[in-house]
Amino acid sequence: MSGDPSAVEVRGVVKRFAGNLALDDVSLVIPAGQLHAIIGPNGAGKSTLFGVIAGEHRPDRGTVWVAGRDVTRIAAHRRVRAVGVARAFQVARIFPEMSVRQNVAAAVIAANGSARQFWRVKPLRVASVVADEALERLSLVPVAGRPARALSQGDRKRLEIAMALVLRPRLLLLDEPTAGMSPEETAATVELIRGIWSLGGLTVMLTEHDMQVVFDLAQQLTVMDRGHVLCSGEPETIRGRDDVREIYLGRAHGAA
Amino acid sequence: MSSPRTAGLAVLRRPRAPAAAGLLTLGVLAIAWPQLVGSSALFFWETTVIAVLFATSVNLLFGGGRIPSFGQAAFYGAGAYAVAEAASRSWPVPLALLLAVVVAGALAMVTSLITWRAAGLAFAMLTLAIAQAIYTLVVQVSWLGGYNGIPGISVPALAGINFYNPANLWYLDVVCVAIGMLVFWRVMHSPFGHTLNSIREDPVRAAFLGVNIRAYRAVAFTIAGCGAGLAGGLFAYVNQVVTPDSLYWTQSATPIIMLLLGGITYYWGPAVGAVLLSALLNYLTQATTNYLLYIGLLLLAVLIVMPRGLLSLPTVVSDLWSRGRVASGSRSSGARTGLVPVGSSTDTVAMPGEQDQENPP
Ligand SMILES: Nc1ncnc2c1ncn2[C@@H]1O[C@H](COP(=O)(O)OP(=O)(O)OP(=O)(O)O)[C@@H](O)[C@H]1O
Ligand SMILES: [Mg+2]
Repeated sequence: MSGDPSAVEVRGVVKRFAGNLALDDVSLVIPAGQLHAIIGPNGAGKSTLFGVIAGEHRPDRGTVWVAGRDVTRIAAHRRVRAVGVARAFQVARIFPEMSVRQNVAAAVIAANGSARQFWRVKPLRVASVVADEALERLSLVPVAGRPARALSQGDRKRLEIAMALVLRPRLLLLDEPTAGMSPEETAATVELIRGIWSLGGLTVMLTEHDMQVVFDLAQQLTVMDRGHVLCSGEPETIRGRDDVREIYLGRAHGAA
Repeated sequence: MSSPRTAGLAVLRRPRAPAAAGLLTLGVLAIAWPQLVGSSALFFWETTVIAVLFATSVNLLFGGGRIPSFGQAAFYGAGAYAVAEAASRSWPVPLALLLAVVVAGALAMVTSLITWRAAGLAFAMLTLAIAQAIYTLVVQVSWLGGYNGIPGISVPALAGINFYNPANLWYLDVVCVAIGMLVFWRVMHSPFGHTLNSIREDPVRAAFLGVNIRAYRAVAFTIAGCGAGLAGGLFAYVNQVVTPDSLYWTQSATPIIMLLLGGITYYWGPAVGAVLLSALLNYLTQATTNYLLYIGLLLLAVLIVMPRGLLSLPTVVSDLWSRGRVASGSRSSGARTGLVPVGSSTDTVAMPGEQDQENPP
């Protein structure tokens, strides 16, 4: 293979849940270093696509390539290290009874391999320092000592992004990163994502229902509908398409 | 405010002086104990501290990783039989106990491989079935003494210390249990323990941080098996006879009751539960034949008032107290465990899933 491999290549993926076709022959190429948004109405298959890329779901047909590697048969936890995937879920998944700092520390030790140490206490102390740096970046320092379950939905989302970032990913999957956030928090999160991405070396994929966020951030869009990829392209081109307007933008604007 | 789930980072910030004072007190008590309780009561206390170690090892699974094993008797019994066999060949004490740990650990490792893909209820049933199978097998093995087991276990003298003196046996017992407790403390507060806790909290999230959750569960299971083996081995020395009872499923259930009583999320929870349950059993079995009924009622009462066990009493009380102070509003989800500071702005947790219920600026 010549040159930089694409960050993500999904080839003819079919994923069925109990007869329900969530992904119907989806193919998609995302160049390395791109900030790419997947949009589409509820149930279009966006989260399922992320699940297939991250290893939560094994496709019924087709293959998934990340950074030039076929990862279709690689377990989710191995993909994290092997190809540098990190993800944040649509409904933030956190460790509820742990403090916010402990949540991030868990990610730090998982990433640096010290999680295997069952005698020395020091790596955990080091992890807590690294965790504080990440919390600083996401303005979570004031709540660092709180149990994570006490956080608002928006703060949970940011906590999950903090946990994803300390994994030092090369591919970051953010499923509706601003869901449940106030307008201020949303603006801050958009800036944050742009900031992380502009440091370079990172491909970001995100799904989002907030069109403002999508058009602020994304270099390219992919529109999905009922398990299909409808089209991919520059935001301006996509915005002009009648079919997209009809299946998605029209409805979304109507709702808002 | 201190969280009960101190396993992990919180403990690093805990002041050291009270902990040191507490440990010192325990040490002094352990030394003076034979004089304090008299030699006739020592057997009871020897078995009680063994129960403390056994229950603590089980808590690495239940509290540490939410790994519901109902077959820990297999490893306890394996340790007991290993020491019985070693003692009949006059192996020195450290070697015999090491054998107990290794045999039990190996058996636990094999079990964890057999149960590799199982979790939750399926895992619980599998561990129970494996332990019962081992029990049935041992009952039929004649060189292990069948139903009668192996009697006449004696503790060979160690470095000039003879263990016919009951106080010396107590000291041996207590030192070994202390070593085991220290190991479990370190494991629970290590990066490994922290990772195990994260698997308990959300295995999916942990997996997507790159954690091989099955491998971590298997390692925790093996370590817990080693602890059970040490406890069983010590029991063989203290009891002087090992029977298949030590492998029976009730032997798996007892430490679970202990750690539910004391508090599953606390390091000292199983220890408190073990002392309490042992004392109660000791008293009740002499007083009534219905002792299981009373134990059951007690457990029920404790768990209704303090779902997190006896050690959660301070949190329960402070929760009631602060609930009394705040004009009873609509504190629903956060109030359950009393850990969320009342009136904190992050108290309300939005329902997961949708974004349209967020408060305006
Ligand atoms: N684990 C699952 N089991 C069964 N069906 C599922 C599962 N996950 C998704 N589906 C179904 O697959 C389809 C696609 O769902 P998916 O969550 O990928 O959509 P989405 O585009 O992320 O929607 P939303 O915008 O609501 O998040 C839906 O019909 C959904 O009901
Ligand atoms: Mg979705």
